[in-house]
Amino acid sequence: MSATEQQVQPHIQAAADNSADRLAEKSADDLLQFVICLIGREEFAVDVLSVQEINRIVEVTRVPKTPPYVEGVINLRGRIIPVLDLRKLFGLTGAQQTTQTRIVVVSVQARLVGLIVDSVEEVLRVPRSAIEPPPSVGTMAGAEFTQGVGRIDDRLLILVDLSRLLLAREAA
Amino acid sequence: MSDEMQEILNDFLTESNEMLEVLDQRFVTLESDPTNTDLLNEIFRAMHSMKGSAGFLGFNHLVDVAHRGENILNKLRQAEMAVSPAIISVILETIDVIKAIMADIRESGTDNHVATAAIASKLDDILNGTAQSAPQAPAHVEPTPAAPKVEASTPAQEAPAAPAPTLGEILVNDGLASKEQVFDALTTQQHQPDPKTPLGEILLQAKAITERALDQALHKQEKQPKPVEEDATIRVETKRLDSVMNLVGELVLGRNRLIKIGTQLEQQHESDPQVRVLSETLAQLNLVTTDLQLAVMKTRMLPIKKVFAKLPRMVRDLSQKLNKQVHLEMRGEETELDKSVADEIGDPLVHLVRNAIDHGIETPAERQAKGKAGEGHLTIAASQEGNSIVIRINDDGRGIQVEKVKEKALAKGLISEAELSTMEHREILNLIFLPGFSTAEKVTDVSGRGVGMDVVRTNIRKINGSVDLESEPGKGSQIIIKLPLTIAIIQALMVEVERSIFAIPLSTVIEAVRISRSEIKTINGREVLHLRDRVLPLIRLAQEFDIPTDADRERFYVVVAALGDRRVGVVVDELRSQEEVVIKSIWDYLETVKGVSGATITGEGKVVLILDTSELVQNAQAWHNPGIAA
Repeated sequence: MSATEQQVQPHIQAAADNSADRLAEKSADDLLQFVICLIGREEFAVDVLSVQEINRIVEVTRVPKTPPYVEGVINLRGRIIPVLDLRKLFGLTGAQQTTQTRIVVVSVQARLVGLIVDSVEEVLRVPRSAIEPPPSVGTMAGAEFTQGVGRIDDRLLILVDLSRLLLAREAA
Repeated sequence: MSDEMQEILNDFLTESNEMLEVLDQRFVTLESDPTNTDLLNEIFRAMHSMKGSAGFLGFNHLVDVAHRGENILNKLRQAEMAVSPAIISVILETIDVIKAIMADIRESGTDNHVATAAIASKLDDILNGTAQSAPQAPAHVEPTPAAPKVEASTPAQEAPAAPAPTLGEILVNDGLASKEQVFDALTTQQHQPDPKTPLGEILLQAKAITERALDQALHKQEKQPKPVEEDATIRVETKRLDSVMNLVGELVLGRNRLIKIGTQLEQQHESDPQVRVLSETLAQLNLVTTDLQLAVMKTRMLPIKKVFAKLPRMVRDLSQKLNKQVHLEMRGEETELDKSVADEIGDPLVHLVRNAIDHGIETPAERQAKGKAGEGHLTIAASQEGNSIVIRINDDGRGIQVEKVKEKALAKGLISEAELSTMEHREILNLIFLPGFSTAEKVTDVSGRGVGMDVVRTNIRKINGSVDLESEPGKGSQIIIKLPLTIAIIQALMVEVERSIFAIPLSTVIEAVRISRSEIKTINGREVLHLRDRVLPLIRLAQEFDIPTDADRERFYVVVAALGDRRVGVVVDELRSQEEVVIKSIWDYLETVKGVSGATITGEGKVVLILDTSELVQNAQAWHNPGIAA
């Protein structure tokens, strides 16, 4: 496990434990927890419970004849999993890979998928009341992968709808 | 239902199914060897114990049917009734009903959904003697001489459960007497009036063997094991074996990586004693891993007997239905293959055997008119050849007429006239594997719906096998199936295209040649290579996979890949190495990618895609022949 992972993992773990406590309390204002990733200047939020691990970028093997947002496949300790480029998925223009680039491995319907992001920032608790439905379709690229929008102070979080990632393949 | 009960039920179903499978074969054997009381006793016991378990679990319909069947078996074994094809047919039908009930139990947990009245009354008829000519007294049954054992002519006697070897067999096997000598002696014996002279004495008189040899053989015969004790076995779920296999695959990859790292270290720090110790440890690890891999693979191996088991019954039913006489011979039943391969090969095999009987073997009248024996001969032989399992299906039927195949292929637009003219005899025959091809003049409920052969080929290719057809009109056909020993680990040729590595299954590679750009010619805009009298359609992997190429290369490698008689040249930049790769399951994201059959992980931990050669060959053919692409 890389140094960064080790930093991030306990963080997530603590957050998850907290989340269990919170659920037990059944407070009127539920707190949801998200891993916040950065792409360009946009903040994307991925449900913390779906995230299995966060890795440094490794060499990705391209797979011919797949949609552009499919970056390829990687070796995750002996398992071969597909990796998607969130940047392309949301129609953002490209930045180069840096030392901050990460692959967020999420579990979608019992299958693992890697998501390439520019960097991973933190785990954030967001009250359910702060989440709004996505803006009407067509106003932004990648709207179909947006589950909702979270507003925290003056930050705007785009909640990634992981289950749609699987559908994207069918549409392609 | 409680978990415990469910478990008992599952055990019951598994055991009963295994028993039923065996019973099928036993009955067909019994038909050709009706006085074999050991066999009858065995069948009786199997039926009886199944009835017992069913009774315990409260499946009364099942008990009822099994009970009636058992009554008849009891009479047969006590020689109160003689074995006849009619009785066997009804008992086989009974087994089918029992199978249906088992399926019902599996699905619904009860045995109420299968109608049993019809079979019950049939069984009663037999029991009361109404459906049957007067029961033969056992005394009328010809005493069977020892002869058939040496002739070993029926599948029955080759069946694994065949009783202890006869004296003749021992003599022949031990090289104490020749087959001919024993056969002659047996013939002499057969023509003798009772009481017959013992076989050994006849041979002695004929000076075929010495007294010492006879003693030796007789001694051996006595020592022959009583029915072999069951080996100490343990039943393991396939899923668990699969996960062990996967883990071993991981281990193999890990070892490969370690060895690479070790080799690098060795080169850099040659003199370091620690590095030397590391190398030794790695060598040890290497050996153990290889052994472990083999051992695990062996746990998944099954004798092909399991797959063959359903064939005798099928051949019997089918030949009766079609009014043909077919003699089935099975060889090499002990040949072992991986379970995953065994699971996949059953259906294609059934299909091919059906085809052989339906289309290949003629009716007795037709055969006699051609001067052949009325009984057709069907041989299924399995053997291991190197890293493959080869199954040959031979029939001595009417064979396939190349002209007919040509006509049909043309009529169906599967191929063009021009293309036919360049094809060899065998290539044309193998057209019958194309989708939509069927030579049967009429569609029967046995075969001939035109979906057959291409499905057979597709299924066999799925497990990296191949199928090939040879035929001589009037004499018969031979189908040769080649299967890998296992489908989890394959040998692959690693090639490079624009710094991307791909793996090509070595089983499909004929050769690799180095060429220069000027050697590539075009025909109708398609690139081809003249390679020793053959025009080889070329596929540029870079183009096929939309890999951007920068420089115009001067030199290329062409990997000649083949599937059956079809060949294609895959143009790559470099050949890297030959490696043993573990096929990894990949997510369905990739499943739809044409030309890629899977992926693997190299010694460096990189993911490498495995090319689907059959897909590439087919593509090349379609290119070659754009007219039929639609």
